[in-house]
Amino acid sequence: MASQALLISKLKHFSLETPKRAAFASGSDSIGWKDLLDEVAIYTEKLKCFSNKRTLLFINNNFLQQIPFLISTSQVHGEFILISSYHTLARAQVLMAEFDAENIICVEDKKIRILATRSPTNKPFIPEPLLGILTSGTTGTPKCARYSWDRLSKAVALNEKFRNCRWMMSYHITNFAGLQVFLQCFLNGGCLILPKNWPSEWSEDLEMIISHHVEYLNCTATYLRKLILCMSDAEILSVKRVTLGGEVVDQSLIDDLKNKFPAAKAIHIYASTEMGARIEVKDEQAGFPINLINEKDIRIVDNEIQLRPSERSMISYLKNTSEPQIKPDVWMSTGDLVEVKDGRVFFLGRKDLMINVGGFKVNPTIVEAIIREVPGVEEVLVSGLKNPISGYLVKATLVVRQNVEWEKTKTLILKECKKRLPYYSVPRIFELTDRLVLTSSSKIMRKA
Amino acid sequence: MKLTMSQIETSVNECILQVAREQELQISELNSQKSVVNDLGFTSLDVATLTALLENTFKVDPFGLGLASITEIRTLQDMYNLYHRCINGLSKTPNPLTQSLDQSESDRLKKRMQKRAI
Repeated sequence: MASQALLISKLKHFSLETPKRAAFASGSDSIGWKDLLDEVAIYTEKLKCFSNKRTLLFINNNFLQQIPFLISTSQVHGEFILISSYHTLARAQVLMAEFDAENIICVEDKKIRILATRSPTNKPFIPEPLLGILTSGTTGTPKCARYSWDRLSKAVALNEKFRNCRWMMSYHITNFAGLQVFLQCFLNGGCLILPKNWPSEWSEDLEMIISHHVEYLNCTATYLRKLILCMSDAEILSVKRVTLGGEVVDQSLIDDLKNKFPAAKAIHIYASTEMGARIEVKDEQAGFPINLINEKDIRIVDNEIQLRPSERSMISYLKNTSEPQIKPDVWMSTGDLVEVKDGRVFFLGRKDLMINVGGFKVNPTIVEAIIREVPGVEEVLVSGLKNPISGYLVKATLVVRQNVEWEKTKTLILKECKKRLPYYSVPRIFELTDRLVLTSSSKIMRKA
Repeated sequence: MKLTMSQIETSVNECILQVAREQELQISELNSQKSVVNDLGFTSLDVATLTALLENTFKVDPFGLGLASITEIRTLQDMYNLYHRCINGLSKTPNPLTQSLDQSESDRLKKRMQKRAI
């Protein structure tokens, strides 16, 4: 069964079986399966006029209202590019032109509104309902990956044991990871707990995890660290599984996770918007076993992971990119750097984030991991500060705990870095801030 | 905002001492004729750090703007003069004590600007 048909058949099935049970909840609001089915039917009818067109879908922060709208796009033979409220309407209009889309639409008070319209240069080729997903843009302008619902659902594990389970949505619904969590929960008849606001407040999310007895939590390393800070001495017993993705996961975070969520299994996933979810690590150790490098669809070349597209990967990029188009059997460079140690492959961060200090390459991810271990440090971002003498200097931007004596903490950071890093990797410039800017997928924003 | 030479000296010295502290360099005393590299033992990365700290303090980067080359700045006095000139502009009457150094600095800057114009 094609996935868009699977979506509606599952929806019908669950609405017959448990019509009143919540499919989605946020704070004290929720929407039951039967009401969801009815809303999807209404939106599907209204969206028909966007068949065979490319449309930008502006998804606002009221996720509970947006979800039925999003599901109904799977029932319309059109191409819908998801735009989060991280973008302004002006920015969306620029993207509309870049992607040669015809309309920008949104839903407000259950009504579909057309926000902007233009004449497309070419008629788009739409063989089936398609979604355009923007890359997270951690390192710059987002690209658009085209997916069929079928490809998006390929990594979903269907199992009766997930029925009626509660999942926490920590990602924005418009990005790849968010859609994966949505589909995993929805296709299994679970209840997805959505944040009340976006960007979400960790204390509010924590409250919802506790009050809704969340069992499955999918999030980034940054999100989990924030959540653990909010928890102070508390433990959460309801969570059965925490799945981390999107950022490098180190062992100290996995250990913290096991302490704070004693009943949870810690899993981390290697995935990208373009190539889909590719590696799932279940042994609660950082990195992954070398035997997963099978040379058939994953290999390491010059310390960088290369992947071949799979049935879970995007169909293609949409227009505005000079990136090579995805082809079966062609290896794609991921930009993810790794090192192999004692039979395991460890992620070292992104190639395009390397800082050039007087000809030496500094990996910010390694520096961040060391600084994060220093007591008093809550968050850290290591970046390159342009300098006319050395090209770049290593700069650390930090959030430290209240009542921390900064000079002492800085001395500790310098001591630790000098002990464990070559001299050119030791941060030279420090800046304190209240909070680091995150992307729509709860990753630390690397470039403004 | 204009700054006096003495304010500039104080700020430059503070930045030098910060770099020295962070890099665990022992500095017995700071005086204007000391060489940043030979006397204070700064590496080029230390000098780069110093320029970044000074940029943050004074909100001006004479090296990035091409107004001076780091090889021209040998002593602390050279550094004071450079930032004094950048902050207060070329027309400011120089401190009589540093007039001769200011003059040579001014000549260098003029030459550089001429070169840039060509």
